[in-house]
Amino acid sequence: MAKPSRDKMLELVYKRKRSIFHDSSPFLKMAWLFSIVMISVLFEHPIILFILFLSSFLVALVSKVFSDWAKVMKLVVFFVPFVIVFNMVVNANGETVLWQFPFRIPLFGILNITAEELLFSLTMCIRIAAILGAFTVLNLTTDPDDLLIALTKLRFPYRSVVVTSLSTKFVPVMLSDLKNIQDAQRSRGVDFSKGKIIERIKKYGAVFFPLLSKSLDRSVQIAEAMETRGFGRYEKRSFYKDTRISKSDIFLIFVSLLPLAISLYMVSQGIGAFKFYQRIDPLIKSSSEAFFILIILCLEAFLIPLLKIRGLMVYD
Amino acid sequence: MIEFNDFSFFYPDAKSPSLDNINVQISEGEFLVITGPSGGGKSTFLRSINGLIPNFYGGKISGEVIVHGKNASETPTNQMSELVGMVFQDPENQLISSRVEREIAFGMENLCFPESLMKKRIEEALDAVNISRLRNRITSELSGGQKQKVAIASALSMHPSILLLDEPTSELDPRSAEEVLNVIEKINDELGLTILLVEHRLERVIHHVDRMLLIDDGKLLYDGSPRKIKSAHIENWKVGLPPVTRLSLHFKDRLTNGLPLTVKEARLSLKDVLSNPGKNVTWSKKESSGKICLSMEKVYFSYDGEKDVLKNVSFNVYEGDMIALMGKNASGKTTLVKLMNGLVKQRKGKVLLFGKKISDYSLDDLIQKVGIVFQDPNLHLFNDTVEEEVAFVLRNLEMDQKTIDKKVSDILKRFKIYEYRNSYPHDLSGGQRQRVALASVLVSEPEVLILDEPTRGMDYYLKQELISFLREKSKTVIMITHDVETAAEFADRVVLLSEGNIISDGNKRDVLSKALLFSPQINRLVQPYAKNGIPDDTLTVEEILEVVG
Repeated sequence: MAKPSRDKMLELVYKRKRSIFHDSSPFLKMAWLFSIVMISVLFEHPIILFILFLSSFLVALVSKVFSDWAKVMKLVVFFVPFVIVFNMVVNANGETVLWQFPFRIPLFGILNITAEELLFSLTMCIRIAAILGAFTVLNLTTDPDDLLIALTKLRFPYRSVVVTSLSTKFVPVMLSDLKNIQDAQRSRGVDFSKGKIIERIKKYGAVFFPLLSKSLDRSVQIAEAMETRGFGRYEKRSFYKDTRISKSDIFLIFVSLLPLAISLYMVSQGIGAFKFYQRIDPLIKSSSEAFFILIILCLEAFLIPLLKIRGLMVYD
Repeated sequence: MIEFNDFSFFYPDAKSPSLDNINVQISEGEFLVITGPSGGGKSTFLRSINGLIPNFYGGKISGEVIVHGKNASETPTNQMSELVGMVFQDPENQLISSRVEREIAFGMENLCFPESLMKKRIEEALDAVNISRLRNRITSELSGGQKQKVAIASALSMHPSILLLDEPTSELDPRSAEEVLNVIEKINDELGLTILLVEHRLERVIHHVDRMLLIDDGKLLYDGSPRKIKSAHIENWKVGLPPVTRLSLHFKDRLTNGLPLTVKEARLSLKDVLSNPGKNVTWSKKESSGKICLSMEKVYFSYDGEKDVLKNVSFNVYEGDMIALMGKNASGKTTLVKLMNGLVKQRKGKVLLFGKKISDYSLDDLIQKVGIVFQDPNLHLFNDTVEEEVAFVLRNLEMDQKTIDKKVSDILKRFKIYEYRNSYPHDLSGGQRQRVALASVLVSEPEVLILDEPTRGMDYYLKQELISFLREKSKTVIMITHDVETAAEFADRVVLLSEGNIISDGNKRDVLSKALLFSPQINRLVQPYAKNGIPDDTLTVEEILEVVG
């Protein structure tokens, strides 16, 4: 795999912008994310998973973070062949053989690509894309500090929440440290592109130790700074610029959680289960399934105009 | 009220104390500067006031520190935070939130202040430090000086009665440093906070403070007004006294009052000396040799493809040049030197090293031509011992063991780190690490040596040592520095960079004399005496001594 250079590297950090989704309450964003993640765990149905993916696509679009979001999705596309090959090797199910490996491979026997395997792999990739996409949207549109307050309100212990949010904040800092260390060492004649594997591993070790010590120094300094500002003084803490939930937020949270409720009902009724092997189920098995899927689609799609309407109300 | 009673402190596993039997009383509202050589115990002293020493670091103490009736060593630091605020050296590693307002609120949130009170306090703190216009900014986008001001505001918002500052300006360019120091002075003046400031570049603060503590080797060597240092044995102090003060020491007997601490004071008290120069001298201006080492022609550079960090830079380095490269933070200095050894590539223009393109060099050849030492020594160090660290480049160049041993031990002795040759580099103090990093590059004697702020955090004597080593041993040196005095002593040629453009390039006497921001103290001192025959491009103490005898 090619090593991504720094300028191509993903920087999935929050950038301050205004959009109907950026301006929403962190609780709404978390409810939306929670609902998407839970539903995609509940179902293996390709259409439902695709709807979830669509939802994260639409939200990314309206919150003006599409180009960053698309970078992450490209990564998923990059994984598709791996998932297919992996499935081909470990999975010998499915009866519709599309292509057969021309010779026997020791240990694995004859490998087939079947239509069932292919669809299963693709569906799993859509699932990954839906979950990852939703997380990406949340990351790109939410100030870590807002998230921190929201999580603390949900009774997560604030000390752990602060530490977690800090550690995400320092990922880009560490990447730039890494670049600086490599620069410094290259200037002393460490050539990262030459040598045998063992030698190269040693060279990367030479990068690793300074990085470790630098990060340790950093964490000690931050800990000192937090300590001197009273962090952990009391069990509770107060909040400046508290996140308040408006009525419209509550309504939207309800809308974004509704699909999850419907999904749970579907699972309890055995609707929406999908089997890939030995033969692919028909995409729509019953009219009730079609009905529920349509409702989920509508709800996910409705979220956008609702956000828009609310946005208009707020701005006016 | 702060009281140290026979206080000593040993870091875990340390054999000698980092603070040795300290006795001090500090009253409310005092403004103190704490100074001393690198690794002498200044920071440790500061940290024992809010209990970071020993609560955070462990180690052994004896004696006690009483702060407003509380025993600081026995009170958790987060509890002391209601009484003592602290601002640290590195602006990067002390801001926790992503927005300025929230950053200031962070401490108050921890102490469970109600929202209405926080609002009021944030307003006050922003005003006190004069950064109201930054209130909605994202902290990571602020400049170093702005970050330090935010850190100060954050500490102030908690209404501490004591403010500790651990070298808050050492990462800043002179202009931002000046602004931060002005803010600190104002806080002391107007709010009456007790302020303890650790600083080793004394010329910036010494005239503002009420009291000076000198800590060396864990001992308190001086405690009193900086106005009274005349009677102390300051000849042995390992501190960088302001150049005018250092000059005045030579005429101690002829001074009627105390030692002058500022240029203005020195003009008056050295009037006799300066108006009768013994000799008539003119300083020669060393010209660059004709041999070009490195040439840049119309170079543009950009990190993101949008904003140019360097714009149309044309610039030659000649063999034997001693260049000081100066300019504000983020003016493109580091980028310029990175171009010189191919760490980054120009967007447009030509860079030639000894007549050849940099990409045509093999890495081994390149490091013999250009050596570069970065600001942060931690980036360089990755071997198990200091000795190996320094020998690393030489081994890479396949020298024989005997030569390596000799070169390594020579340079280690020179930089006074020979005794640590078998230590793990990361166990050393900041100043020592810096010297190891320097030695590890200098040892291969590259044709062109580039140093990115090598004197940051170095005390006066180490600076002198470095300068004399460079002048003696190196052929061509480019030193990035914020420190005007270092530039005046070290360089022949000074290049000023501003927003990606070279705005001034020439002999140091032309660039540094009579410049508004970049004149060394001595140069400002002699201006009124130019009519008496002191050359108006005199820059250093040594030069002026030569003139007045």
